[in-house]
Amino acid sequence: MSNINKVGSPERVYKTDKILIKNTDLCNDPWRDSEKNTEKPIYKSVSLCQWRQERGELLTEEWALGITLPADSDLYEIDLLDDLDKIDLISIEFSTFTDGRGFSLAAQLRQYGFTGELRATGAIILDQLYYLYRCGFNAFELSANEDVDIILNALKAFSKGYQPGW
Amino acid sequence: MYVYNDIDKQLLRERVTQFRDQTQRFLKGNLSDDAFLPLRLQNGLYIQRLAPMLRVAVPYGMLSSTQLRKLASISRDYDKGYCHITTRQNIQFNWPKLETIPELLKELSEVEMHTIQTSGNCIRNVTSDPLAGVAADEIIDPRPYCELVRQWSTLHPEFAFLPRKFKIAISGATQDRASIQFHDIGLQILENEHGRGFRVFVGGGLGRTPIKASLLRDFLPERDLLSYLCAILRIYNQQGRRDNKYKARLKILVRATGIESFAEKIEIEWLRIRDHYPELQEEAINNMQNYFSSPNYQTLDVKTVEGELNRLTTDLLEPSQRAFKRWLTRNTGEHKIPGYRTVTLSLKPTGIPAGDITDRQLQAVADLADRYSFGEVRTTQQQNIVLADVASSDLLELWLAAKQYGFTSANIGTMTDITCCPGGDFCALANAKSIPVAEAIQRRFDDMDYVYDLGELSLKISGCMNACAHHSISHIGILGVDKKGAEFYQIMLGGSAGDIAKPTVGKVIGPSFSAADIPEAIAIILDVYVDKRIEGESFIEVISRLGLRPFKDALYPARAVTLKSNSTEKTLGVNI
Ligand code: SF4
Repeated sequence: MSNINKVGSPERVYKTDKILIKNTDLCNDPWRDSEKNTEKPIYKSVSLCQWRQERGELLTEEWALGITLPADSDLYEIDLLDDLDKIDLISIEFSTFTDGRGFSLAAQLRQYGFTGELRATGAIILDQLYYLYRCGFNAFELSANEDVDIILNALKAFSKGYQPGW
Repeated sequence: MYVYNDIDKQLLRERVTQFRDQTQRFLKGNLSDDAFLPLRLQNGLYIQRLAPMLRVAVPYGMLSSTQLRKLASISRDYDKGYCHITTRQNIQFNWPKLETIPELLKELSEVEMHTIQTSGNCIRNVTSDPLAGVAADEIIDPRPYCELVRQWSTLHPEFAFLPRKFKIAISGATQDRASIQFHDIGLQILENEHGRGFRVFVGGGLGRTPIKASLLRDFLPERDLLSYLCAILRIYNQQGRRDNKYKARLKILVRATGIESFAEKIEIEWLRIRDHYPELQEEAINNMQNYFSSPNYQTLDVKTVEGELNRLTTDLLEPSQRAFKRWLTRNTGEHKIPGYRTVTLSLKPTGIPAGDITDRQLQAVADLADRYSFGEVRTTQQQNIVLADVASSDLLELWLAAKQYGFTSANIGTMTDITCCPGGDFCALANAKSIPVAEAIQRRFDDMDYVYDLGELSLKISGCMNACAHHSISHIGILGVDKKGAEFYQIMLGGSAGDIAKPTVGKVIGPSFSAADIPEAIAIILDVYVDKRIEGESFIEVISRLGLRPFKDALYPARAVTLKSNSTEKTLGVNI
């Protein structure tokens, strides 16, 4: 898990200095703060732990559901594959940028037909964006200090790949 | 040889641009050391003891004369006038300046070369048989498959941050000249009633825990090659250890899991992947094979040519004829086409670090290749260069020309054809120097008649446990160790990789020696061999017949006495 989480703040305060790039555009993150001041948010995001405990209830509500998975999650150990079509956002959180497990996890999710937003968060660096994108990520949470043009360029580092990709 | 298409060229240009940008950001302080590290490693750039070291990929060892000339000019313009052939068939520059590397990469890209994935925790350059396509014992040419795997693994988005490095080797001959069972994945091409496919070995490796690979699958149809590789890599990526870099290689995962459960995991993952994965189409394979079709061999009058060679090398020999004859015996080999030979240019003259080659020599190799071998050469695991397609009628002329450049030391396959890593003179990871030890051995054994009499004998020296020289699969292996800050050397005997049926890891013979004592220790070992051999037995055959005992007794006489007296023989063979 990232240092940020270790600090122990459940409110994900760190997100204020983050920007979200989705489908090659700078966007607002609809999940951010959506739960503030409301019982029934339109966008609901949960941890893997919460998902495991409250799966039934989470699926009955009308909200757009987001789940955050650590990059080292084993897809076959977490009860998720049957519900991929009911989930709108899966965030994969990298604790270090050299943890390649998140790349495979993303590729597997796409392989199993997940079509929602697949977001890379945590310790990723710009120089990985193209590979992340080719593994199926279509959204990236990055430090607000990064220059958006450089980000968009990094996403286009290569015009083609030798391998099948998403 | 494979020729880049527009896509290959485009990708290479993009990679050069990407790395130029990364280097500039690093030099300006906008990219941290930690972030730059894996990025530069994936571009073959190490920061070494004295300067950066840049490793250039030579896919499965093939080089064209155009590429050789470019390497010559780069050695001159960016380095100190020489480069180094590694034991993984690659080329290393030892002294380039960081600021100039983006430009160097651009020059390399002009001749379809690069440094992509030559280091770092990713899929490394695919290696193969240096005699691919010409070996008399070849069943199927591995190069088209090597190139398909090279492309598949190049810039692979999913496998750029593996637990550790990952090496794939492919062979298509009866004899294994690529040591495939000492790679993370070893592929042996074969043909049977189901068509063409691969025997897949997995989890081999050298390093501090040398392990022979296990058989993962007896037959994999060729169409499934890439999806199957993907399954192995994915399981490794997700389940290989990341907490301890010494336990992070695939071999450790395979051993910890057990080959049967590992095979089961791969099978399950593969079945999940296979239907989503494009098959390797016959057409794609055929297209690739076209790049490696045979060159335009002349029809030689074999009888006349061989008659002439015979005449040159029998009766009343002048000294120079004798030298030619030795070279012919040691440095040329059988070819699948009658009248043709393979020729190994030796990069092991006494006193030159193994595998080092100057700009002038690179140029000369290019000229020799153009004149005598269809403009192509191959680098070898033993750090030499092979001209694969030489007409026998050209051999004398070639020998005379190669002699001027110091390529004709007639020692290929003998004990002075020493494979040696850069060791303590260059490498930041070394425990001990290796180059001076190699030289001392070459000087001690300068009587070539004695060396020839010993016959086929491999001797390899690594400066540390990383085993870059593959000492643990050498008949005689020497390993640099650190003993309280002093450089010492451990000797292993009996390793070998060439026989696909029984590749063997060598065994440590006993306590280590100082550098000064190594030549004498080797001399003692060789005396034992000469003494014990029965008519025509090779060094390795004597070891498999007698074990290490007689060698130990001769090397450690005092111990032999004490040990015999209290019969605690088991304590030997452990490094003290
Ligand atoms: S074996 Fe050790 S010393 Fe030799 S090159 Fe490899 S890492 Fe360096």
